[in-house]
Amino acid sequence: MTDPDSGRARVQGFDTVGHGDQVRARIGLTGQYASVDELLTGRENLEMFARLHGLTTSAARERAEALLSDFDLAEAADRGSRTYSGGMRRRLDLAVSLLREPDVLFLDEPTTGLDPRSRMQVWETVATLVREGTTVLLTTQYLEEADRLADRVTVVDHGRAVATGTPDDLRARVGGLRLDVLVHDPADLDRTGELLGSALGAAPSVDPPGLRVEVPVTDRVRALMHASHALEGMGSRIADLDVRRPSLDEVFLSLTGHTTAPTETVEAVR
Amino acid sequence: MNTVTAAPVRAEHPALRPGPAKTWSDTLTLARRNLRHMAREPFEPVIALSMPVLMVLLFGYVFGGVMSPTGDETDYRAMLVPAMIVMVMFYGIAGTASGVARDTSLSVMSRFRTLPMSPAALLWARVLTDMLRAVAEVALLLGVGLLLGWRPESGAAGAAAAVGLLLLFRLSLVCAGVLLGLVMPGPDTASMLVYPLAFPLTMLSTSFVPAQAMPDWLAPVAEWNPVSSVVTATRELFGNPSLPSDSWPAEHAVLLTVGLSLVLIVLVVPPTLRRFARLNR
Repeated sequence: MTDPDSGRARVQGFDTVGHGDQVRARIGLTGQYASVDELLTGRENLEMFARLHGLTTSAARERAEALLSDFDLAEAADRGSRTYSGGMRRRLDLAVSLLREPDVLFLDEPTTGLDPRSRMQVWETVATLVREGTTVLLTTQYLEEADRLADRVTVVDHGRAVATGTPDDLRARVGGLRLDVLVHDPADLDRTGELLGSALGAAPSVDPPGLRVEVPVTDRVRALMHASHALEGMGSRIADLDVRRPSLDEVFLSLTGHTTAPTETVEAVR
Repeated sequence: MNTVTAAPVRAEHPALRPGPAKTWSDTLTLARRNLRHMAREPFEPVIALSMPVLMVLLFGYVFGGVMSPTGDETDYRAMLVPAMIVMVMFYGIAGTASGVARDTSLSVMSRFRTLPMSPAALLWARVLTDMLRAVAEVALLLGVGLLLGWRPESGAAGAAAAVGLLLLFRLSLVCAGVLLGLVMPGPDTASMLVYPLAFPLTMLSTSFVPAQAMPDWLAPVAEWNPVSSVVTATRELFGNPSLPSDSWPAEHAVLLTVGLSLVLIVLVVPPTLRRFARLNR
């Protein structure tokens, strides 16, 4: 455990400085880059780390076998892990960090650089672990991932926590819903904005390159009814009309006020 | 994949400060890993082993007639076998250093740091692996020696003493190699540095030619070169002929070798442990 620059951290009540061994016995860790031994096979990696975790030889063998099949690695188990694809390596790494069913699992950008299918598999695994009682603390740059996995999200901007809460809390901070209207012809944007503004009693914002007018609203059904009534005369000049919740990307931008370095910490607590 | 069905092993947590039993079992686990690495990437051990053998074949057969101080080629080849083993022991330092450098620079190290394992086991495993390797090398090279016509002339006790001395010498080099590996920026630097240093050191000795054959200013360098002492001591214990020399180091070769090895270990171990402790912080 590295000494902190300042402050202190406790895991399950144990201080990371004074009780490093207690902490190590309770955590699992998967870094951004898979830290498995590339010269060993998947099975050898799991068995070696299981032995280092203090499992007996036979328990280590059984546990490795079980995790290999859980993580869809049974077929590649006896191949050198350096021949694995990025997704397989990440899965092996995740399996290694779960050898001893940790109370707290730390995942540092677990899906960075993964293809959509592997990302989905990692998400499902994390969701299962959380359901079964593991506390997962993960960092991610993908706000969609945070939205999907986390019970509590902390937004970190340039090393400072700028907001903490459930994804819905954070959304509520930047306002409830958005009414989006798309048009075919940029010439119609201003007219659409005026109609929506007077019908809904809120200031519209116009996005010319997106051919889009956006209005903050509170009630989904009322907004849709008023808007369609107001825009009736424009007929087929309207391309699309929808009410949506703000994405966490928008939340992030409005919380930080800029677009650079969106680093974010997510806690999926149970 | 969708459900984690593996049986839970949460039960109780392992001994919190790893005791000697856990340290020993971690050492064996990691030594096994090191042996697998060696088997899967055998280039370095193969080069460390084949270069000295090739050199002995070259000197023994191509230059043998001119180089032998007694004029007998078989005698000369018998004299070269101990030198060959010492060279292999010496080149092994590259393997130790690059192994340690690789372990400590690798991302696996960050994984090791999160495990409830004994950190010292990493170093113990390296020492154990490299000593096993040394035993295998000595056995193999003695076999090569027998094929070349070399014989241990001093009986079983003398031969055992010679092997013991070679292994003690190797142990001191393994310790030095561990420190070197901790100081080096990466595994490639470690092996790139060792060969250019080790090669002249083994050549500038009384391994192949007597010191008298060298220029006056060079002769003492070769006589006082620790490699000369180890080679002379090994020849002496095996009962093999030595190159003629009446220098002090040649006459006290065994004593000097034991002393140098022990001094090297004593000098190198404390900074190694300090350096390693800092790495684990």
